[in-house]
Amino acid sequence: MTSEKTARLAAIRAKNQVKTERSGGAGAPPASADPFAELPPAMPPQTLVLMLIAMSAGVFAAVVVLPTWLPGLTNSLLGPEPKAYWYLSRSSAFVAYLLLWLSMVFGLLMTSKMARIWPGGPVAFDLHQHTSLLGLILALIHGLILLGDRYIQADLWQILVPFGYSGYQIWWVALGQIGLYLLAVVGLSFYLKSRIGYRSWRVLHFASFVLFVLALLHAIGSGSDSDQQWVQLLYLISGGSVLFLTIYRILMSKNITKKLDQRGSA
Amino acid sequence: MSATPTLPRKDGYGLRELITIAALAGTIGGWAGLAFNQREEAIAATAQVAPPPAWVLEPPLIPTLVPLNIAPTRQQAHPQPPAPLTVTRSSR
Repeated sequence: MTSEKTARLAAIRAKNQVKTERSGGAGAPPASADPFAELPPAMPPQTLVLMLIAMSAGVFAAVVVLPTWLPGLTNSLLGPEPKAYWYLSRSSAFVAYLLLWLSMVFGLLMTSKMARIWPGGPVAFDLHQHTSLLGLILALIHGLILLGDRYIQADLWQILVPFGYSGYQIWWVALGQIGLYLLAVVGLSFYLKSRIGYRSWRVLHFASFVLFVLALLHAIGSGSDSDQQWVQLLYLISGGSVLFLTIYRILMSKNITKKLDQRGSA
Repeated sequence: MSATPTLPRKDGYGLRELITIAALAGTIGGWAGLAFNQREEAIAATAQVAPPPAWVLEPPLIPTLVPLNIAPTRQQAHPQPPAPLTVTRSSR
């Protein structure tokens, strides 16, 4: 009889533990620790899916439909030396990098409480997610639009698989490809936060620093415009600002910990 | 009502829309800018590669810093009249 009671108790405990883990569990922060922990994703999944479909339709139109329907326009796109795809890839790369930088800045402003000054915590959180997802879409365009470029002649496999394309700066290009996947994981993890738990999500989110560095190295190493002064200035300002905000964030969190320790000892 | 609740809008400035529009405009504008830059580069390259007209390489009619008494006559300098000047984009 005693052993039966013990078994039932163990079963109830195991059931409760599973429930706790499903709801975020031990990883869930106290309500006062992080006001953004319980906020829902900024962009609904439907919107994200619609944007991805729109992107795919755009790429399909540029690569397949336009050459068939508009011979005059496609002369410039599919002439002996078509440059349009190459130009679009370069311009979207810059925009994707800037969006990624903005996402990093908003995220660091939020966690370092500097967002209280501007633009406010919830708005910074909203923009942080929005810019990262928009950056993900433009980074995909940056890669996939190259399918139309005849000079590079890269196929889908070479574009999507790291180290798959050996025609140009294989290492620098691969850094960008790896960064794209990290961006996808970090960006889409907003939608999985409640399932994977706050602590796992937080750990996963640290990959954003790695992916920003990868994107910056990819831009410097394989960018066609990296030798231009304004581009170097752009990289310097963006990289420098992220570094500054990261250091500030670390110092601030250390300061808070020290204050809490002092209060505890007092 | 949407199945997934979204964050209530508190910015009031439409920053999300502004960023989205700026991103699209930047992509299209960057494409146009690169295409324009390429066109200018092509024109400059054509101007460099194209050989100058023959009459440019000939000596001037009255060379400067040369005493007039030993300067070649017009007939000696140019047995044939120079080719007519054609104005092209590269020569402008």
